[in-house]
Amino acid sequence: MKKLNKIYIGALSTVLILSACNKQLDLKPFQQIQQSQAILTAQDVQITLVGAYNRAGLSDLYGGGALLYADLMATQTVLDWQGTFQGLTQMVNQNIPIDNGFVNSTWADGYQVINQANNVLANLSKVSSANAPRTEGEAKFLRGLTYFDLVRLYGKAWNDGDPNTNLGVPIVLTPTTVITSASSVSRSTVAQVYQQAITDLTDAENKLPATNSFYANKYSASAILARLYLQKGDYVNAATEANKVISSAKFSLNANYADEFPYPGGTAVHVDNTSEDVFAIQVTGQQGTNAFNTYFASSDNAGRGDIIIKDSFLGDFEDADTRLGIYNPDSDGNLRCDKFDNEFGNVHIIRLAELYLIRAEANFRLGTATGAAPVDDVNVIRTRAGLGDLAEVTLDDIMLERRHELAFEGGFFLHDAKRLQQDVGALPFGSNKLVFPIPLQDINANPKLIQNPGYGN
Amino acid sequence: MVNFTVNNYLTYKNVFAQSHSLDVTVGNSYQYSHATTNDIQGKQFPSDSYREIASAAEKSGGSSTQAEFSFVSYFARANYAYKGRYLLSGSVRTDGSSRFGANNRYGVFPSGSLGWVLTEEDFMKKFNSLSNLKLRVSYGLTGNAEIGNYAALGLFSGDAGYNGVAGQRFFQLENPNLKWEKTTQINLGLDWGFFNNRLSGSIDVYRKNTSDLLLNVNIPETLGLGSQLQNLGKLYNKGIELTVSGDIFVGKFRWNASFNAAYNKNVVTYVQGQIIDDGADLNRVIEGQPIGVFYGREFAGADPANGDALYYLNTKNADGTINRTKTNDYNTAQSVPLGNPTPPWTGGITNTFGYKGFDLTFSIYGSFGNKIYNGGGQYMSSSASNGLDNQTIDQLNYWNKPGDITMVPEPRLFYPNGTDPSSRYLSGGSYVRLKTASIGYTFASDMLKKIKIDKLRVFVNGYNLFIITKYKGWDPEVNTDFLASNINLGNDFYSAPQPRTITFGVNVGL
Repeated sequence: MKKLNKIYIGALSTVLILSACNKQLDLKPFQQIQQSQAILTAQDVQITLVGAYNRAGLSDLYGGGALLYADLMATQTVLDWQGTFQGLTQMVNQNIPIDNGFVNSTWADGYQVINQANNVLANLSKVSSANAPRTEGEAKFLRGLTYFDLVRLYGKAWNDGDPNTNLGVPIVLTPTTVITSASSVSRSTVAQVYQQAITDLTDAENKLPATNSFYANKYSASAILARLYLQKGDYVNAATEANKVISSAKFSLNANYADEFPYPGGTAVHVDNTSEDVFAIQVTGQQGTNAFNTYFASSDNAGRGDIIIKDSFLGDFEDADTRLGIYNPDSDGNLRCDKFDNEFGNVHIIRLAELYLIRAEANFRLGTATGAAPVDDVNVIRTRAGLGDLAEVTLDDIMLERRHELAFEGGFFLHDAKRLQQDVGALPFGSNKLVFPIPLQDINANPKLIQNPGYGN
Repeated sequence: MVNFTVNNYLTYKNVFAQSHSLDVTVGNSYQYSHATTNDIQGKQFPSDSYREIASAAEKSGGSSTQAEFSFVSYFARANYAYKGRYLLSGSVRTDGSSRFGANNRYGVFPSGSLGWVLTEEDFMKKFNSLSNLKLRVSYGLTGNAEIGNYAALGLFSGDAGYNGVAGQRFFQLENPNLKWEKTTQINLGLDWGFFNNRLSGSIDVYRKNTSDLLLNVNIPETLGLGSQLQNLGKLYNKGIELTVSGDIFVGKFRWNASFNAAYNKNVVTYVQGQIIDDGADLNRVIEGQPIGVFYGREFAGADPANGDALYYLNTKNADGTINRTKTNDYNTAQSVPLGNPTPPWTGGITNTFGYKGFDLTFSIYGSFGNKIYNGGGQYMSSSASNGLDNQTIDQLNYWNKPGDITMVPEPRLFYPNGTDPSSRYLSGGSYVRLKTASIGYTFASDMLKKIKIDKLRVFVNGYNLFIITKYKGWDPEVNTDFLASNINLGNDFYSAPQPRTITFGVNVGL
C-alpha cells in the first residue's frame, strides 16, 4: 500500500510539472512588446507615428544620407572627397556596385518609414476624430516624402525616357504582419510612384494643421509638393504649391544667411527650427544623426572631414555675397562648408528660400507671376545675401541663385542636373550610373525585383 | 542575473544473474535564466579621487534591460551490458524552449548506441598482444536552440523617440513556427590497444545531417525589415577522425607521442535557392557549398593597357562553358564560389620526452585547405587608392605603364581601383604551428630533503614559437569578432596576431 502511495505521489507531481511547464516556456520580452499588443489605443498610434519620424531621421535617410548621397554622385567639380567609406567613394566615382551598403541602407530605411506610416494609417480608427486628420496627414507626409526620394534615387529621372514604363520602386501601402507570397512586390513605374507621392502629400496638405510644433504641417506638404512638381516639370503646380507656403506668412527668411544653420557659441546642441524651416528633421544629443555633419564637418566640429570644398566653387559668387561667409578653412586649412558644423543641428529638409526660388523658376518658365514676379522672388533671396537687386532675371540667373543659396543641402547638384538635362561630370544626365542600383540583398530576397539597366543582371 | 536549474531523476541499477547489468534513469529538468542589466553613465568628475556617479556633474546616460529564457526537458535513458562484452544504450528526451514559436516549442531527440568489446570474447584471448578492441555504432538526434531569446515573436520596440518624445517602431516579424534545428548523427568507431594499451588509438567515421537550420533569412526589405530568423535549409557534415597514441620508450628515457588527424566535409544542400549573407563582404550560404563559403567576383589583376582592375566575367556561355573574359566593370562580373573559410583538414602531434629529471613536451597543430578574407585589404592593399593607410609591401608592384603585367592595379588617389570585395583579398589559410613547448627539470627528491622541500621543478614554457604558413596577413588563426557568426567565418580585419610568449618558472612543493 505504501509503495502504491509513492507511485501516486510520483505520478501526481509529474502531472503538476507537466502542466506548469507550458507556462514556464511562455516568456515575454521586456524591452519590446508583442506586435498584437503594440497598437491598441490612440496613444499607441501616436507613438508609432513618432517612431516613423525616428526612422526618417536615420543617418542614411533624412538624417541626411538620402540627400547627400545624391550630391556625392554629382559634385566632382565642386568638392574633393577624402573619405574612407568605400561605399561613398563608389558614389563619388559614379561607379556603384550592386552590393553597396549605403545604397542598401537608404532603401531599407525608406521602407521602415513607409511601414511605420502604414501601421499608423491602418489604425486611424483608434484615434479620436479631432486628432485623426493630423495623424493621417503626418503619416502620409512622411510616406509621400519617402516615396519621392526613393523614386528619384532608384529610378530614372521623370524627364528621361517614358516615366510610364521606366521602373520606379515597389509601392507598399499596408503594414507588415506576416510573410506571404504577396510580400514580394514588384517595382511600380516612375509615374506610379510619383503619383503615389503626390496623392500622399496632397492628402497630407489637406489634413494637416497650419502649425504643428516641430512635426510636419500643412505647408511642409505643400513645400515638398512644390519640389516634386518642379522635378517633374509641372511648373503650374510647382508655382501654386510654392506660393501657398510663401503667402501663408507662417515662415520668414532669417535676417542672416548663417542664422539658418545655428551653432550657438560653437557648442553642439539641439536648436529648434528657425523661422525659415518648413520641415526639418530634429536631431538631439540623445537621438538622431546629422549625416551632413558627419561628412562635411571637419574633426574640429565632430565630423569625419571627408568633404573638402574646392576653392573654385566660390569663384562665381559676387564679392559682396554674405553667403561666402559660410565657407571657411578649418584648422588644417581645408575649405569647409560650415552649414553642418553643429553635430546636433537639425537636418533642414526644406526651407523657405527654396520655395521663393521654385516659384521664381516656375513663373519664369510659364511667363506668369503667381504670387510675385520672378525677379522679385530672386531679389528677396539676393537682398538677404547682402546683394543688390537685379532689374530683370534670366533662367540662368535663377539657376545660379539656386546653386549659391542651396548648395550641398538637398541633392540639388544631381537632381537639378537631371531635370535640366545637364551633364554630370563626364556623364550625360540620363546615364545609368547616376541611378542607384536596386540593392543586391533585396534582389536576392525578392524575385520580382528587376535590376536597373547598367547594373548587370 | 538569476539562473537556476532543477533536475529530478530516478535511477534504477541492478545486475541480474551476474552477467546482465542494467541501469535506467528517468527524469526531468527545468532551466530558467533571467538577466537584468542596469547602467548609468556620468561625465565631469571633480577629480580622480571622486569615482562614484554621485560626484558626476553630468549624468550623461543610463539604461536597464531584462531578458529571460527557459528550457523544460524530460528524459529517459537505459544502459545494458552483457558480461562487459555487449553494450547497449538508448535514450530519448524531449526538450522545450521558450525561444521557439508557440506551435513548436518541443523537440523529441532519441539516441542509441551499440558497443562490442571483442577482446572480452573467448575467441580473441589467443591474440595476447591485442589488449583492447571495441567496435562502436551510435545514432543520435540532437537539437540546437542557440538563438536570441524572443526570436519567434512579432515585436515592436520602444526605442524610437524623436526630439524628446517617446515612440515605438516595428522591430521583428513573428515566426510562430520557429522550431529546433535538428542534427542526426551516425557514428561508426573502433578503439584499439596493443601491448597493454602501450600503443592505442581510435578511428571514427561519421555523418551528421542537419535540417531546419536556424538562419537569419533575407526577406524583402519593402516589409520594413531585412531579415527574419527561419528554419530554412539542410546541410551535412561527414568526416573521419583518427587518433594514435603510444609510449614509444619506457624506462630511463621516456617518449610518448600522440597524433590526431581529422577530415570534415561540410555542404549546404538546401536553402530554397537563396543566397544568404550576414553582413560580411564575401561569406554566403549557398546550396552545394560549405556554410559561409566565400562568394564573389574573381579578381583578374590589372589591365595591361590602362591599369584598371579587372575581374573575370565568369558568366555561362550558351554551350555551358564559363566565359573567362576579363572586364573592368565589377557589376557585370558574375559572383562565383571562391573558397572555403573552414579548414577541412586538421591535425596535431604531441610529444613528451623524459630523461632522469628532464622533461620536454611540445605540441604542433596544423589546419589545411581553407581560405581567409582580408577585410582590411581594401585599405592596406589598395594600390594606395583608397584612403591614406600604410600599404602592404606587395603593392609596390603596381601597374605603372602600358604593358605592365601585374596583379596590382594602377594607384589612383581617392579613386579606388579594384578595392571592392573580390578574390583579390583572399589567400590560403593553411598553417602548421608549434603551439606549445615546454622544457623542465625536476630535482631529485633525496637532494631536496636536505632543504626540506618536497618538490622542485624549473621550467621554460613557450607558446606560439613558430608558424609555417603562406598566409599573407599576420596570423591565419583568425576570425575578426565584429563580424563573427555561424556564417561569417575566416575574416581578418586588422586582427592582432597571437603573441609569442615565453615564460620561465619554478614550481616548489613544500
